[in-house]
Amino acid sequence: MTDNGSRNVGIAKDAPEAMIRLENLSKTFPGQTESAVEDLSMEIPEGEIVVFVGPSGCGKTTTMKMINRIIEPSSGRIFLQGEDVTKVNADKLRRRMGYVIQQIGLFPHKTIADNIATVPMMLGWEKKRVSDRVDELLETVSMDLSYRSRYPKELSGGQRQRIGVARAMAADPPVLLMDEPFGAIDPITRERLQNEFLRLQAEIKKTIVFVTHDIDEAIKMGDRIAILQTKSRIAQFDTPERILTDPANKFVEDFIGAGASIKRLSLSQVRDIKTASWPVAVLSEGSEAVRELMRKSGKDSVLLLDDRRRPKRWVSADDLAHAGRIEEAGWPAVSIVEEGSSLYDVLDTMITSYKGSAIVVDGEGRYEGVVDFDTVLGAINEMRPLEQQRPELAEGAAEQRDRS
Amino acid sequence: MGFLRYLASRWEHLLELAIAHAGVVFLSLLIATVIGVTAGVLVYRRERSAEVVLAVTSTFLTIPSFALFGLLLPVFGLGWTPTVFALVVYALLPIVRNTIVGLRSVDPAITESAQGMGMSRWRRLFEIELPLAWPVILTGVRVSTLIIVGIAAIAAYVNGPGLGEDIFQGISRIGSATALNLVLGAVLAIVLLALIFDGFFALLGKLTTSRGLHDR
Repeated sequence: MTDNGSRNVGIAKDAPEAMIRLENLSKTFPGQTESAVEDLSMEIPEGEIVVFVGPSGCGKTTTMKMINRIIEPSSGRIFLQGEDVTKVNADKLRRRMGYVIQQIGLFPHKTIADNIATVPMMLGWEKKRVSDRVDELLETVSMDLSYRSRYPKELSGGQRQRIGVARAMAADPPVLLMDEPFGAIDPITRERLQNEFLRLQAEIKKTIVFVTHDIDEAIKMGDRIAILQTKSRIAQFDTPERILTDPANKFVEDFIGAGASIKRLSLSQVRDIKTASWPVAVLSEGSEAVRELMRKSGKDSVLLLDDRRRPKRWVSADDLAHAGRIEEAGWPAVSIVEEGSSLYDVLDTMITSYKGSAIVVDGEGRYEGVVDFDTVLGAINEMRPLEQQRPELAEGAAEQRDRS
Repeated sequence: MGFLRYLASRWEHLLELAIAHAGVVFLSLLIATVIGVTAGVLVYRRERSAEVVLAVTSTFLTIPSFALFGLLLPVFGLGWTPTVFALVVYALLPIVRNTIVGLRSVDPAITESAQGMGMSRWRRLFEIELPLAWPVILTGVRVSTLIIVGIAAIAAYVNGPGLGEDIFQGISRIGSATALNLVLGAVLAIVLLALIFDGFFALLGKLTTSRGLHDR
């Protein structure tokens, strides 16, 4: 939630300890009458990716650059791990933070290995330790060790930015500052890099401040998003889910653009919602057992599984009556989604399914449950803030659960 | 006597002069490079200071060398001192200008990422900016070399070292048999010297420039 009113403050409730705290930061550039950043206060929780997003000129990059004092604040204070770093030696401060920029900025006259080794060498690590760390990082960013002795000009844009990230993490700083790091990269490579970076972050859990102008990237990458208006005024500082379901004002709504609800669906996984269950039988049990099951359940069709409990076919009472072998009765089950799929993918699958439903399976393909449109609608309804929930949908979802 | 026979008989003398000529050029280049690069480093980030420095060094180059030597004579006397002084003055502009241009042409993304990593101002200058500007600076040194190899000949006016001695002798004896040979021999030697210097700097450039910067 945002505690705004007349003050420009972004504090996250139910968040871990703040790794970085910004207190009343302001910046006015010399010769300008208007400030670029006005009285911004914010806490960046430890281990989270906080995305600064906003239109061009809103001051998001300026704000981020004040954290490592590439741009010195006109007023206000910066705290890193509880320590006031507003006036300390700036060079020493920056060695405690990784810095990745859009144009990457690899040193063309140094090899990839030397590029990555920059900060560790400055900190006085011994050569063996540095060398091992370079190898470790190349693996982490999925690049072959043979790249050690190559030069930046031999690498593609995507590869260079991988090295840029590796270089920023070399001395294992607790904080990473990233200014539109994937902005200059083609969309396909960008998506790959984003996914890889998220996987990496799940392991290393660094505190990351990420600046972008792309709301979709913000939703994808951010644990928390700060939507900034001009002068870095915080419009909303919250999780992507809450921003999408409950935008704070018209600016945020406009910034999200159309399709907010659809975007919201891509953030939830099917394992997060309550699936319905459906009568299932194993193929090898035979038609008689299946017919018995159908009669007892009162449903008009049954899902048949194989011996490993993987969904194979749907059969109705009619199919059983007319078909020869049970393996050929009914129709094949094809609308199957894994429990890790997003609701967006589930909806996509359901639209083309025969019965408007999808079968949920686990990582090994074994049956877990089914979802239909009502289930998904009910789940979306529950995501809305209390005042906006539609009671009839909540009832509908409850009914579903009772019925099955 | 024929030019070739002249060369055959006087080559030791020419060599002696050539070595002195090379020596005074090399010394002047060294001093000019130190002063020029330092000046460039001090002003490249300040627009107005850079303009002043460039204007001053440009003016030096426009002073006719004869006049400059004449002005230095009462101050420094004869021989090496006024020669080196004058040559340094002439060698400055290309070096200063190229230092400034070279440093300014470093991609700001590179210096910003270096700063963001916590490199101090000095470290950035010596580890990043100067190595990247080096090829351009070296080109400036090469240009200066070509300029002062020729001007060094005029130093003979103040009894300076080098091949100018023969040229002046030749000119003072215009009309005599040896005049042409003297001048031609010295000029040939100067041209050869210029080529050797240039080749030396080309090699130096290749050896001192990182592989990452070479054009494919």
